[in-house]
Amino acid sequence: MKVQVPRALLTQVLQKVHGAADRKVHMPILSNVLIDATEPSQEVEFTATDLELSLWTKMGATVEEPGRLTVSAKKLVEIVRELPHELVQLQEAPGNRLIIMAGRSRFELATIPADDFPFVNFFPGITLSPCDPSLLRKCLAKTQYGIPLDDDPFSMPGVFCHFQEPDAIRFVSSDGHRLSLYEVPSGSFQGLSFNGGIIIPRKGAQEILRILEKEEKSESVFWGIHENALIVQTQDTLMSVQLLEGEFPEYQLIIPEERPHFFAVETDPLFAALKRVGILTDQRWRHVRFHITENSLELESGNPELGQATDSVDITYTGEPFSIAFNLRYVLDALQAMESAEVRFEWVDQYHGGVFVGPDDPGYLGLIMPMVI
Amino acid sequence: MAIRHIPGQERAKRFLIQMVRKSQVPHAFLFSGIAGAGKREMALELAKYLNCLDPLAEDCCDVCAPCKKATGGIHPDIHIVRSQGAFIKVDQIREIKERARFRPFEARVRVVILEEAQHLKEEAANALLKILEEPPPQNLFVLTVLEPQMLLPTIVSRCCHIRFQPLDDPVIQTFLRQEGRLSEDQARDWSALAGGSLERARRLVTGEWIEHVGGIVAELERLCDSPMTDFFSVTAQWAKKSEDLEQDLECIKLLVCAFVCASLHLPLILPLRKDGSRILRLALTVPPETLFGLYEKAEEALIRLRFNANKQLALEHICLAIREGLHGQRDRKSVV
Repeated sequence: MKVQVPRALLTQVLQKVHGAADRKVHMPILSNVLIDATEPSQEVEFTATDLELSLWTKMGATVEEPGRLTVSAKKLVEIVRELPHELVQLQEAPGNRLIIMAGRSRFELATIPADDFPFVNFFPGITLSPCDPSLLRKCLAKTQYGIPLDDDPFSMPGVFCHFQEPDAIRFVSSDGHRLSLYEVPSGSFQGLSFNGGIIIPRKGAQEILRILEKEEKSESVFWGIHENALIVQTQDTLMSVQLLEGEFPEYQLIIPEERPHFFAVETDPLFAALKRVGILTDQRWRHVRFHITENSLELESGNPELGQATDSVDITYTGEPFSIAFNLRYVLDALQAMESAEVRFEWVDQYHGGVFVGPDDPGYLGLIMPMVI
Repeated sequence: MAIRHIPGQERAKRFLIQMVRKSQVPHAFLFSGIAGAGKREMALELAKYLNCLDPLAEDCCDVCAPCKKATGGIHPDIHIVRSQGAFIKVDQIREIKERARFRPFEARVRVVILEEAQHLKEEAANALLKILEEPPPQNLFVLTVLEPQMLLPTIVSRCCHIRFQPLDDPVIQTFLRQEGRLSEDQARDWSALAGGSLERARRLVTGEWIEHVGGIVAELERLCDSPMTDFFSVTAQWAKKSEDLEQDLECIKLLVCAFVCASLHLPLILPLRKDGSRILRLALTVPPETLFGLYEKAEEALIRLRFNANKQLALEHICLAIREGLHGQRDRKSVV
């Protein structure tokens, strides 16, 4: 293989691909990127996978000799990023080596034969449906904070996407302490079909968000589900995300249908006040207590060793005084995902989860279970 | 390699092939039997057969891409879990659990081979049990173990147990001759000592064990000569410095076997002849029954060691038995 590629474009492509490569070392080839240079089309294709997520992309190049090989994704991106010259030459050398040359810089990287690379299937025969990238981005961004970080037998580490009667698609994530939900009309994703629901794993959701970052036009983004893989296609990129097997917990049971009490508050002052009182929280004392009285919300946090913090914001509330405590980080996350100038906090009692909704952000719901202090 | 190339184990092969052909493969197998009986090889070949693109009637093709990847150890859906240090740790099982959340990447069935599953730490065994209780679809777990009693009974009860018999001597002879250009007599001698284990036979052929036996003879002679007051400190040192006490006990067993052969005027294995020193001459003075008793004790010590017996006690037990067997019990009273 011998190709010449512009450095800036190569950096961009490699940065996109190397996120999919595995960072663990249990199979060395998974930390490599497969480079496939074809002469007739004068293109270089890049593929990376960690077995849960696979990504393919291509770029135009001057291909003098075609060839296929795999090389460490991390090292290649680090090298290319630092190269001084604008034109980079990649050349295969005997003894399983790849020579990277630009100007007076020369690097030699060890390679693994391309035949050892796992067979990555993007199901070329399936029909993909067009997808509004900004809407998909919104759905995932608003729900991904609720995906559990730790291995927890009672929750699923992914975003659950399912059809909701009568006419909606819901994206839900929950770690057992909080839940985030975003609902869009089912017509928003035309052509999408699946039975029951799908669970997009954490890394898959993050990488979809990453590749859709710069995609604005809905004509260039397509997606579809085949067997147990979610395929997302953009103009020059194909991504296959292995969906999680298993059943998502019956999350509807913890969302109180009737929430008799509520107050409304402006988002920005509440967010700022929460951040202020959050200064005195730590890993052990991480709660914020809401003291709700008529037209006033007092926030209280802190710990006996460091000190106490209180702040208050104006709210619209007429009713009995009420007090409830939440994990402050969770409240901030729920508010951050909301795109509404006003927040409505709804509750039943101190045992049921408190619900954050935004009148300007229909479809979004953040539920947080109260803390017992 | 393919299933047909694995030495012996015809019963196990027939059973496994039938299961694959009838699509009745359970979610977990437990392969038990002595080391070197072919458990690990069978597990890998079974994984290849299950995922072969162009399988033969009763075997994998061994030439398609998945077969080659499996042989090269780079198949993304065939995971081999080995002990890290002395144990298989819980993190290794958690990693498998994480993988099992997804469908196999390119294989029909993901195969997880847990080698020497007796080394599972308690937490790891419990984590594995959790997976076996609710087995994820399209996943096959193959556990290899010396004895099923070495595992939690709850794990054993959730696996389809297949016992691997020690290999017949002619089978070992054939393989040794194919591999090592040995004469018929040499192959027969080594296979007789291998105790049904091809791995042990190979180690004997390479001379690795014979060298080791030389060291053991020296150590035993020192123990027989030293007064009782020193006996226990010598065995304590031995147990402490030994890198693999199980192998030492295997060599002691081998040595006692040589004593028995010598006592019964059977042909002595050639490399042992040069070690036929004082201790062998001493062994010839005691009745064969005593030597048989010593052989049983050596085997018992080995089994106990595998079941986590105290290393030093196990070694003292067999060394004391040899000393008493060869010198008589009065020797115990000797102080100088």
